Amino acid sequence: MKPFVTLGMALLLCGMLCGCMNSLRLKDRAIVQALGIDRSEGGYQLTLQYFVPTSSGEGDSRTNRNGLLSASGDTLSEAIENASRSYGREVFFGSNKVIVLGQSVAEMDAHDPIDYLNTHHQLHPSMILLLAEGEAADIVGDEKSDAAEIEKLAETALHSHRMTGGTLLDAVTQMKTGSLELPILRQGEEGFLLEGAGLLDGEKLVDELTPSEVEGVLWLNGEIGRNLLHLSLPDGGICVLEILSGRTEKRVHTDTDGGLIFDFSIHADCAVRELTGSKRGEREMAEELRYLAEQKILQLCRRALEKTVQKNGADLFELGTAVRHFLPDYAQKYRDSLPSRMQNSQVDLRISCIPSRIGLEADENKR
Amino acid sequence: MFRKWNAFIHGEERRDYMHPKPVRGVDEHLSGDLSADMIQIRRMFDNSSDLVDRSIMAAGTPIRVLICEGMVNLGTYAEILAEPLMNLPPTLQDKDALLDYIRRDSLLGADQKEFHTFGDLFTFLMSGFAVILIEGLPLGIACGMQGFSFRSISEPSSEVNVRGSREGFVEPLRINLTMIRRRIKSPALKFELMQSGVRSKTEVALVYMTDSVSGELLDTVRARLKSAELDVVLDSGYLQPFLEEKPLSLFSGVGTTERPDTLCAKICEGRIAVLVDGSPFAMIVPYLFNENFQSVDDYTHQPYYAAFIRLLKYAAFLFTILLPGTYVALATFHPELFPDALLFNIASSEESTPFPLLFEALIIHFIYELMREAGLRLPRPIGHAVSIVGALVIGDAAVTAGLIGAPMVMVVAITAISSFVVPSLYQSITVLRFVFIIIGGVWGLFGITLGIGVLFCNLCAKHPLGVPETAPASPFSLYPMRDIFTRQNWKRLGRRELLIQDMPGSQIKKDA
Amino acid sequence: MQKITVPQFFILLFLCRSFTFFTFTPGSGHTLTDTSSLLGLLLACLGSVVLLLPVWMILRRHPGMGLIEYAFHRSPGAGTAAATFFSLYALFEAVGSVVHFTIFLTTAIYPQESAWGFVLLFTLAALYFVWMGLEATARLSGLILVALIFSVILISGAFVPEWEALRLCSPFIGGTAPILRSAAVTLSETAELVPMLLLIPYLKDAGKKMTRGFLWWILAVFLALGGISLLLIASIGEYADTQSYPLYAAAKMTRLFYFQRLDALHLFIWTLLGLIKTALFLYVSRQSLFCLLGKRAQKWVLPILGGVTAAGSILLCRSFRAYEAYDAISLSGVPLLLCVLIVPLLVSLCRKKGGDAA
Repeated sequence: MKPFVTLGMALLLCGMLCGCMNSLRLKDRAIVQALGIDRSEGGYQLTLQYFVPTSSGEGDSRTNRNGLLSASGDTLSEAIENASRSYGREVFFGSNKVIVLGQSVAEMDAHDPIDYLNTHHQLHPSMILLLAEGEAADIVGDEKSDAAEIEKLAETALHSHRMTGGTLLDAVTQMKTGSLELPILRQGEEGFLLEGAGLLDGEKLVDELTPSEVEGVLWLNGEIGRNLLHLSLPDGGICVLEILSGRTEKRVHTDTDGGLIFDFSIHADCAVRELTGSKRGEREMAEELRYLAEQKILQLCRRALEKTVQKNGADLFELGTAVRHFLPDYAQKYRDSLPSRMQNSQVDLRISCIPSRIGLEADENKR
Repeated sequence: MFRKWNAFIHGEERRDYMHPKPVRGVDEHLSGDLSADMIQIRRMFDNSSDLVDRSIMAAGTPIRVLICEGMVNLGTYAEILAEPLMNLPPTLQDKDALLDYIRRDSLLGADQKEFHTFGDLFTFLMSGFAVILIEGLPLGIACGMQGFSFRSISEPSSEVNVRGSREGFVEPLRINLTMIRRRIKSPALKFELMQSGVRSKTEVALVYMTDSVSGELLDTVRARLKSAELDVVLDSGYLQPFLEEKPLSLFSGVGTTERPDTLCAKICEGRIAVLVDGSPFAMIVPYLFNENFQSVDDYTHQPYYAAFIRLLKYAAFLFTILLPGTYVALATFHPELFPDALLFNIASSEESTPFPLLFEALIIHFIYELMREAGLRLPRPIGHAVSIVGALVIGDAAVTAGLIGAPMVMVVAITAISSFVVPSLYQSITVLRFVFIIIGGVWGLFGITLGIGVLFCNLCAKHPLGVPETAPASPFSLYPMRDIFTRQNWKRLGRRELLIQDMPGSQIKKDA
Repeated sequence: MQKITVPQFFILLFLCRSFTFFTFTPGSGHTLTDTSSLLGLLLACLGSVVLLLPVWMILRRHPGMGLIEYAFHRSPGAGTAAATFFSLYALFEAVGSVVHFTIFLTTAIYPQESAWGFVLLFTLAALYFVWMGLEATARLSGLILVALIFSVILISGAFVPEWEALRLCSPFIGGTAPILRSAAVTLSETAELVPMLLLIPYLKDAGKKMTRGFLWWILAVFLALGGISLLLIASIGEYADTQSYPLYAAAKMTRLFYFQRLDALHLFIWTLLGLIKTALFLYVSRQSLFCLLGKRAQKWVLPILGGVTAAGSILLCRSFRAYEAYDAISLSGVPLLLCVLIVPLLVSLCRKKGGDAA
């Protein structure tokens, strides 16, 4: 009996060897590196940059180049299906580095594509997600465009805190608050630039943030470190401070009328990196530099708040979260009108920026 | 349905297995009539040409001295048997006096035994004894003067070490027993001899420490060995299955060793060693899974280095069984798990290869096993050439020809090297590697996880002779873990002995 | 009869509980990504203790007896009914485990594959575990626990720098209803209470160790699951709310040295947890049937249980309506309440065999 049972089990298992799971060879996959999504009345247009292997096991991947593929469809799934069909290989997003949304997507409805990207099992949440100035096809489909370089550009900006958000994870998280900010990728003369950000009200593009406003958002979110702060000195000189570390604390309380007052305490530690055009020494100017830095940061933060919260009602600073944390009863009571209350709230900013390190040059050399 | 199958199978003519018929008269007693006995002996031996007999007169009595040619040390034979027998004291006049003299007043051999049957006569004769038959006495005297040639003690080939003894067991059982005795000069060390094999009557020795071993364990081992009904026992491997436990598993609950120092260490932990005459591999029971990763070098090196090597061995084991299958699974079903640069290299290499990765992995591993096996069987000078050809064939030519990708060659290389780090598990590793390659290529990471679960469940279900195979990791006990993944300093390790009965989950009764 | 130690048993149950917690299925309306779920978890743990009190009072007077043995002790009829009921419940849970796991696989990892292959393989592997015995499964669970702790530390450690206390808000922000709902759902998922009552005869030195073991188990469940929930809420926050399998999403995002994601590790651990849970409930079902049918059932019970599990799982995976109905029954808590409270009380009210009054 036992040998028959064993034989039966073995045959059953062997039977399952015959393709119970669809396996695909790597050469049957189009390994997508960058994805551009544009929208029109007819549906979606996709531009895909995919990896083209050149040799068999020799050399390194730097000698390989990327290929380009375009496809369209009424829905994203249909467009991807059409891309696979036209290229003859299964589109594979597991190695995708960058997704660029065209301005058309942001102007019509960004929520659905981002939601689709979030639920796609191959896409990684920490993938770079950017907004194109114009058509995504112009950026992704450009012959000189390389997904790895765009990714490097974005990662450098992220690490040096010159860009806020920028990943699929950030976009999905922000969408829950009803507002979304996407860094803008522009085509410069000598390459691509990440400058400014697009502000969406969860679905559509409503405004654009300038680079200084983006900087203000970074300060308010506490995403600071290794940025540079340029200060114009009264005597015509310029001082460059490098922000070594910083933190932002948020609190909220109500005033007598029941209005919200948000308190932002920003503390930063900085170092003087460059002082030009001034005859005075760094040590001499320490207090003045501190004052100027704080004023500059204050200005950046106010501009950011004006553009985001006050003008467009965009909660990019987890203000709603702060209200739920500090004033749970208030949040419960004014659940439906909370966004408008936040838009009309007051903000108190307390900035502290201390130049803790001075450069090597002795003050005597300046006199 | 199964009955029909059974009937179909049994319908064929089958020869039932039977024990060989014993040689007629082998259990008969010696008659005392020398001529009649010699006729019997020659008939039973069928006049085999290696039987040498010499007839001499001693004390007025005809005696016969029988030896097997080549089995006896002729110098010893001449000096302590032939010469004294030829120069007996004149006071000995009859057979009884002669027998008395042989029994009490002489030393005709280091080992002197009396026997009464023809069966025993042949056993002693073929064990290198010189046999004396005396006219009128229905008994024989066997004198030990073995002088057959055997391999000299050399470094064990299967357990090479950097530091520690270079002695390994040899084929003769007695030599092996002396090697053990020299290392443990304690009266508690006991050798228990028995015979195994209906025809071969091979000597089997149970070796244990009477002050450490469990009586229950001993009885079990003894009973299992006695239950082994085999015609011939030519190696310890013949008896190994009788000591194994259910369930059927790729991992053995019986350990083997060629090293006397390893054996001595194991028996001091309450285990039992089984040595078989003619085999340099001793068996040790019970044998736990973690012992596959222990070696003599671990106990001679510094503890930190020993810990490093142990962890390396565990990692090597996992690499060698899982790396090819995981590589195939990831590349086929989960390429997103590869870092980008690696993925591009693999994709580039796969671009021009004709076979799917699963097939590639199976081919290359099969070729590797062919090369390895060929290198083992061939004479040494040719064996070197085979390894060079293997390296060229597999390494360079196959990649250049576009048959396999370069990453697969790396995988094979790492897998092959890792498999030699744990030589005791080589058999299991080889089979498991192929199994996981197939599983990974067909069912991906999910299949590999199921395979690992099934494998470890099988391992956890084993309890060789009442001790859980995965002890002391599971069931867990902190104190015995001192010598599993790391090795404590000898100052602490030697402070308290840990017997096999003390392992967590052990069902072996501890003797009072 | 194979017996395991009490610590081994509770490690088994801890692993089963971990599986249930992290692979809940979409559409159940059950989310564990806000702070009310933490309080709900605490209440569920306390609720488990309260729920078990009556049956604990009954069984402590009959040391070494499980519920089925106690039922047979009361009367053969009660024993037969109890054995049948518990066997069916355990099979119900085993099917649920297979379905939950298959849905996770076919949603998150292999969305283009059909479910039947996974169901068959998974069920076969679980049957093998049952065939190997409770002791082998318990020993394996010790090894899996180490792997689980290691993987959770790796994944959690990656998210500690993202910790933002601001994301933690009062659990009462939505009122008490979400907390109670969360507690009820969490408690209804604690099917491990049933093996706890049925497998007492298979434990060495049950007695006092059971009570202590149970309390340690409850504490470990609360600390482990609560800790991970807390970390997910505070570090990923709103993003976890968008994911059906938050811990899987977290594992996907974890970077470790050169490895960009650890979801393979997550898949590895949860597959093993799923196998352990399915095997445990199949074992309970089998042993219950042995109590009912005796030794003559030994040869064919396991294949039949495997067939029913596989068939039921494939049906539920293919029909979302059937699956929703199953989920509704399971999350209602009624089956668990019946097993842990109603049936033991009814059995204790039965006339004891031999004519003694109940």
